Amino acid sequence: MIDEIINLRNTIHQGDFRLILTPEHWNISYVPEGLEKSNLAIVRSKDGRLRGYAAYYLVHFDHIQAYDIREICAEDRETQAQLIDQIVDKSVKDNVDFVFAKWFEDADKNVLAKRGFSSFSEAVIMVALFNPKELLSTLSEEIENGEVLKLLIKGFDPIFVKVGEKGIMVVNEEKPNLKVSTDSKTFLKLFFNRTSFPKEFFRKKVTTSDILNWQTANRFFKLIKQDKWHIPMGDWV
Amino acid sequence: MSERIFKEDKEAKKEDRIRTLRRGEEIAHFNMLNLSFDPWVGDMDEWRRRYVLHPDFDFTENVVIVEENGEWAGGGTAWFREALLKNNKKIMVYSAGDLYVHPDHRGKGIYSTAMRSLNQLGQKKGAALGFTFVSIYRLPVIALPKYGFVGMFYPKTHVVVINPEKFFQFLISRAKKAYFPEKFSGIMLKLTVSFNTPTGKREITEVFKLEKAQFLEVKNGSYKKHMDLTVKAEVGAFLRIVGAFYLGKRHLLLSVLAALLKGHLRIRFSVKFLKLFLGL
Repeated sequence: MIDEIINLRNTIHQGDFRLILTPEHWNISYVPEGLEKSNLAIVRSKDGRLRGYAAYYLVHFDHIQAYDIREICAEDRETQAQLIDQIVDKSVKDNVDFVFAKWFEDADKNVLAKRGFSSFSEAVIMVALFNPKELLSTLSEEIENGEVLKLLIKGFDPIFVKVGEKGIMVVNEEKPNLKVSTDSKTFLKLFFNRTSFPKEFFRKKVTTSDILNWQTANRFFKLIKQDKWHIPMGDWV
Repeated sequence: MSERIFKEDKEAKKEDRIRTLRRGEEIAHFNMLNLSFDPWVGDMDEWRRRYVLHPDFDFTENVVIVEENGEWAGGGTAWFREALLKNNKKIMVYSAGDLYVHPDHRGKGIYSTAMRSLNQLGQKKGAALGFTFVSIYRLPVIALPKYGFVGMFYPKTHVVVINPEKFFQFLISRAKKAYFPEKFSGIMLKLTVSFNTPTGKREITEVFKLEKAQFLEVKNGSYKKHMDLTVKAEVGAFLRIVGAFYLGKRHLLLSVLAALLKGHLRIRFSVKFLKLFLGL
């Protein structure tokens, strides 16, 4: 069962920035009371294939209790709706006082709103940059042709990156075609696709040594950005 | 694993000593969390889940303690995980959490020392990124940018209420912990919250008086009919406005306006309240 769950998550969130989920992490973070006793909602297709799951457990606040949905992972909206219905039905049956979930995708709002959920802001995920060279090296691949960009992030050593048409490669110090300067906050926002290079360029949060060559910088940030992100609540300790 | 002593924190005060949790100090650490968070989020089982059972976690390495003049003054914890980038390659990340300061040592820079030590530990162990998940209602959201953390994702909290009476009381108990400006003392507030539950619609009304910057419930029948402020809100709008209150004036105003325009909020106020609100 755990292998099925991990496989489904890896299939659905292939290419998303995410933490690696191992069976050990699953057991501790999602079903700490044991899989057999846990509140795990699942939806299977007629042939028995897992189409979605939701892990949730009982939490207490002062004198009231709630089901905290730690993750919903479903291959389509219909499956997602079925999982939410299962949880709400069980909440009414078990007489818990409320059900809550914290997650990211606005597209899920409609599925939740149709089932009486209200949405509001009360949390923020904050990120700090410690090693941009390690990040870029992990994204590196062998490329032959490209322009060399010297990336200057405030507070870090310069990083030299060859920017090709379809990939980047971190290289040893060499004469750059272009220097790009920014701060770690802007770099992180570009890396996690929370903003765009043109926007930050016009706001002067990113500057280039050669304004005519800004397309190379634009391509560099496009190539490194993580398009989507999936870190459900259960992955947080 | 032997205790690790950090000596590199140049900004730490001379009387601060930074070390890691020792075996035999598990209960003391749990008690310290409870004392500092008043209370901490879980029981001893939850502590064991986070601090003993969590994979690849050793509390003698990952739990930082700050001592001031030999006294346990605060600390924090670093959990390490591997993350996948879009090309399916791994990086190491760390998540900072359970940052606390003993009530007797607040305002002395203990939080800063603990946070810097955690970042240092994160870097030493090869983390490319640090993460933390915090409430917008609490201090870390203001403090953490000093240590390099940037607000990146704002997950929405989605709630469906099954038992409106208990949920309403829960909200009120939280509101009672908040501080309201003294100038509103004596104001009578009638609050009606409507709930769309799986078993049907419900509405709950309660009357409050603001006294000495605190919300006080007024028992039925013991209040005058005249209200200075009457608020009728759908629970979602109510929660959004409470959230926006902590995000700043602009968010508050926008969320109130949006709720008014959508018909999710109705407000009536007296001239007295308006004058107080505008500071006239």
